[in-house]
Amino acid sequence: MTSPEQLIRFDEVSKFYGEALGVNRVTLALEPGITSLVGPNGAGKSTLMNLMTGLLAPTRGTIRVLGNLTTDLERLHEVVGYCPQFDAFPRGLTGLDLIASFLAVRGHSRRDARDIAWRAIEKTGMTEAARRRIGSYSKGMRQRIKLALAMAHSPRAIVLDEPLNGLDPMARAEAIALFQSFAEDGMHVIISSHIMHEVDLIADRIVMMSGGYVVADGGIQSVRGEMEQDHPIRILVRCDQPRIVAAAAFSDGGAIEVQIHADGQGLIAATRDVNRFYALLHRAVLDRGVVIETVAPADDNAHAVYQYLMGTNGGHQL
Amino acid sequence: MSPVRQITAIALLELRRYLAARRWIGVYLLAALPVLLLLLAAVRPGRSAPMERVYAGVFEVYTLRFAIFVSCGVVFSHLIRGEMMEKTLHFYLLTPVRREILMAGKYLAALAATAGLFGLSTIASYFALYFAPGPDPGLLIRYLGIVILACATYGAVFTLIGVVSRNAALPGLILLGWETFSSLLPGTLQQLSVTHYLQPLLPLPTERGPFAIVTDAPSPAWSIPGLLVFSLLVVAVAGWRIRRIEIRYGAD
Repeated sequence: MTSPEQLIRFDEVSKFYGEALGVNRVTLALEPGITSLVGPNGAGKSTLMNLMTGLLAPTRGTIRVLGNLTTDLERLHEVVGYCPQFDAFPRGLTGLDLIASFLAVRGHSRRDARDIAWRAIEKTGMTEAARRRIGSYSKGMRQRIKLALAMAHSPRAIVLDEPLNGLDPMARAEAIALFQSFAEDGMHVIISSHIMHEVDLIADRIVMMSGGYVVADGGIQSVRGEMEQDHPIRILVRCDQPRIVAAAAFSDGGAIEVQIHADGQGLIAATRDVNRFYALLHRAVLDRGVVIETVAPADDNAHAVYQYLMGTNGGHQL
Repeated sequence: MSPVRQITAIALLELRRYLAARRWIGVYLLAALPVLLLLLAAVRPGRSAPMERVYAGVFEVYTLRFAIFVSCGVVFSHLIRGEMMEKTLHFYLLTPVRREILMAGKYLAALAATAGLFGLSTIASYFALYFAPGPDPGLLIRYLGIVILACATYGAVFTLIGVVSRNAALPGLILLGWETFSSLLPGTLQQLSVTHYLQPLLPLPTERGPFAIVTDAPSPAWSIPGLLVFSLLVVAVAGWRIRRIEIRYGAD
């Protein structure tokens, strides 16, 4: 079991901006690994991130990050790095100056600060632009220099608000690999993203938010499993005899809906009993000689979960 | 972590940002103007007043009561509020630095910048005296001391204003009015102005006008430490206030 010192815990946390609701009665316990915050604009994702990094104080409830209360700001900021959505930078500084200066503010000597800053810059692939003023950077470069700043002090938890925005495909792949390496090292990586297929790729768990409330949290599969009654799981099967599989699926595979592909080489079945359906496929192979090429869940992903919970894809990039 | 080291790092970063920013061009012009005025006065043929007296008038009326006041208003009220408006305050608030220390570092950097700038202006304009006979070098030291005290005190006041008020212009104008006309007020109220403590330190104070209410001037032994302690307390209050600051850029 994960000890409290390794968790990010929200206990009945609410945040109101005057009369307006930011988040309400959030109770969560996040374990190390990659957690993705998902939800439409105004769902409360950034508020949750600002709360866990101490930039906002909760109206009610308490937040502990790796055992540190978020009201204990100095301790909190030793262990947390934050790459916020804000796209402004202090004027007149180069990327290297920015990171080295804030490392010096953290107490590093000037020389150490520049060495550590350079290592972070190398990790984010910004070495060529590091000595240029940030004012001349592209959106993607600014994202990467923010990421370098957030990770430069080797935090144990890193919070990233839309970190993939503005990155080209190569830089995205490198950033994702970096996040995965953080998670492999036992860090917390909290990411908000609108890009659902990337959420699928990288997230160990999701926290889905809507209107300031957490509407679901956990592994994508487990969240999807909880929705089985209202939204039967759809399974894609590519095989040579889809009609035989379809008939069996209705008779003893627990299927409630089957669509045979137009090319006659596969089907999609909707079922509330996945195990029973998989057992049926076994029998179809063994008893009826069906040759199966592919079996895969068709809506066992963040996008589908999001659509079912929100009733929309929210205009998100999918 | 050593607070001194952190304050130094913050102050150095801030000073770097001052040098890079173009928005202070107005402050540079305010500081440069007396140099020009005094040079013109010094070389003007048929000058009647002694040069020390001309210098004292320009220093008190323009530099001390207007240029330093306005410049401190612009620079110090920007320390926190300006960063909120530019959406850059979070860079500091995400470091493990006590907010009082952040406030102290930013205040000291602004003090170094304004006192340095107006110190240079004072030195440069003082050289205009050398166009006239008999300047007293001891006067320059006194003027420089007054520049530092004025920047420290007005700076502290505007630092607090920048923390508690969204727009420093209105409180700044009220304060300018108070400082300008406080000599017309009863003695007890005069004691609530910074000018009351700075004016007696001037080597050659100017006439205060026919409507001024004359009061006992505080001695330098009282006013100098008094102003420094007042500045320290005001900056401490500003530091305490920013402990509760939240980053809600949209709301500012």
